[in-house]
Amino acid sequence: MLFVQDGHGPGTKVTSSLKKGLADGLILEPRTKSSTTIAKYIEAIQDEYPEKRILFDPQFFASVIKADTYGKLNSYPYFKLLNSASDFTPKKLEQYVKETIDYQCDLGLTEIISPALIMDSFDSREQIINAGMYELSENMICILGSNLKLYLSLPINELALQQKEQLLEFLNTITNSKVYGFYIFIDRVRSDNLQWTDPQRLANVMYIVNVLKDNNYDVIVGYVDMYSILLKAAGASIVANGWNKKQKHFTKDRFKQSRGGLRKNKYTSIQLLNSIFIDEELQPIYQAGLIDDVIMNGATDSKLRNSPASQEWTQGEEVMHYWTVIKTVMTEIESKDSINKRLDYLKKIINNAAATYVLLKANNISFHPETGPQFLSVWQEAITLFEAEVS
Amino acid sequence: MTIKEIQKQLPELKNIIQLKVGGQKFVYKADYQNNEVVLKLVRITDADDNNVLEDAGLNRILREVKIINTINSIYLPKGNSGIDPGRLTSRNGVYYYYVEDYIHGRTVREIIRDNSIEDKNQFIFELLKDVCRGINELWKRGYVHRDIKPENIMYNESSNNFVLIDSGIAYATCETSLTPTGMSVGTLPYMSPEQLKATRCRDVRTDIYSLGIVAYEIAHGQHPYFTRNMDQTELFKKIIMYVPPELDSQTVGVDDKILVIINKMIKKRAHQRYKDVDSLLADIKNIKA
Repeated sequence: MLFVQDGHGPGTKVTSSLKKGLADGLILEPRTKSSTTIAKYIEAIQDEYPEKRILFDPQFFASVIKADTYGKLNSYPYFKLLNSASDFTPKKLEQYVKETIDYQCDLGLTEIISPALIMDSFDSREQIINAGMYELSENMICILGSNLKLYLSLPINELALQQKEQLLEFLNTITNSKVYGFYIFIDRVRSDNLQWTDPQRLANVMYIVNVLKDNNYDVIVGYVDMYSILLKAAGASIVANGWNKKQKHFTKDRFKQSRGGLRKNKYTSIQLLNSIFIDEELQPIYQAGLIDDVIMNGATDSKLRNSPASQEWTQGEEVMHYWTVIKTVMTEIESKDSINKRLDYLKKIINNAAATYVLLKANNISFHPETGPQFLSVWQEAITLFEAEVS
Repeated sequence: MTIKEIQKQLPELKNIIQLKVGGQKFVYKADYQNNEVVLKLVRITDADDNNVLEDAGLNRILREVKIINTINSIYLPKGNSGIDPGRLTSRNGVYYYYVEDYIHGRTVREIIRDNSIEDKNQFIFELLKDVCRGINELWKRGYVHRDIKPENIMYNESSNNFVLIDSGIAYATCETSLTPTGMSVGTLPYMSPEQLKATRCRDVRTDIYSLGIVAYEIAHGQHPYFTRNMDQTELFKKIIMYVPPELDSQTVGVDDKILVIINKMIKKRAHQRYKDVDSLLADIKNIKA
């Protein structure tokens, strides 16, 4: 399933994705909506799309981030800045857990995300605090009732993924949790490039997802760009992303003052498994007579078949097509009944994408580091490493 | 302690005969009110009143007594409610004693040794099903057995089921550990990697692993790691590092469904095994589906 990772300026993007069946639910981000707005926002969606699922990530982790701006988080009753050791006594942790869970229950939500801090390593102080909050969250949900489903939040710093032994020990521990599922996202170290450069780290994310799925948990992964298809193949039940970079890629930079910048239109190619720039990359591909090698030519992108740079391409159209591509690949992955078949399918489409990039290069089409083919070899290696772990 | 000394202090027990001696533990069979029982003695002090059993050792015995007296399951031994545990004195020192119902049958080790398994598939199926239920009874009360091995599983010929015996080193997840940090307990060839590493991660998956090793040994006809004359360091390394060959149903003559279960039970990483006994039991029941 694909969920919308909500963010600034949804316009009609969220409702359109729900209406068209591209998205099956929504993960709300309090940083971008005030507490007064959010209740109405939820109500409006629930009224129109009662079958769609809504989750609210309390973003408790922001309490310990030294930020330029916390956005709308300050409007939430449970949110406060925590900066000393005395802020993390057992009694206070109990209070934080109660406040964040109560808040979600008051919104009428039945799928609850626990509070958690971003783990810089799997044996860090933050992880110890999280372990306490996980236990308290489990206990609280037990008391509150069986209609509530608890997702433990696992915000993991990308660098923690280097520590294999600690990761394995951590997985031994959390797979003992009596909860419905996990909500995972990776705090990425680079904000300028969405692509993974270290295959081992990516393989470890796949491994985490796979282990949790194999232990019968529902696994949601947030802030994932195109590599969501790898996580889907590894066992994620839900992946979530949105229309701007901050919804596809989590870094702590979201709490820094934005420097703005001009948005360049992008097109997501199912053949390339990547989003490329329309003016600088898709247009030359068109001029080289290779447009049919990179576009889907479906309802969401057929107008780009002819001179794409001269077509109007709104952010709304861009994201609808982006979700269509991800949904199409995910549907194919879901149709495979074993992990081996899912991985074989991934390998096949990665090889095809690599071959298309080769063809484009042969025709003098050049790409930026983020839009070029480098990520494909990282994905291939990550799949190989992952296969070795789960075989 | 002589049988005469026991009989003098426990006159309600008749026809006492010694079954085995191990370390400071002595096991006898006796009759009590037309039933056969097992009398277990553990030496606490010697003739000069010096302690021969550490506090932790005595506490483990008390824990085992608590388990057998509180859990009523055909998959675990039953304490005999007619005779309360207590202390016996002899010229050799003081002994703690407790009594269990006698189980008519043989241990799985004896059955393996006698080559008397007629249908491996049926045997492993019943073994896994029954011992899992025993493990589950312990786990529901917060205990992990930690010493599952062929010697600690008996086939009860009266009730036709396997019984998981000797919970002497069972670990109580909610109580203070009786084992100092960094020390391992259990029987090495059947100990899980996490037991060897003496991490605090000791839960029901440890017992699932050990039972998987027992099942592997029966299916394959040999232990996945241990061979005669192997030294402890080598065995330790093998348990931690070596991946045993996956069993092939054609070669070992065991149903593929059973082998898939065994292979999952003995994964080195606890998080890759069955999460709990219920999910393991569900797969075991599917063998016959």
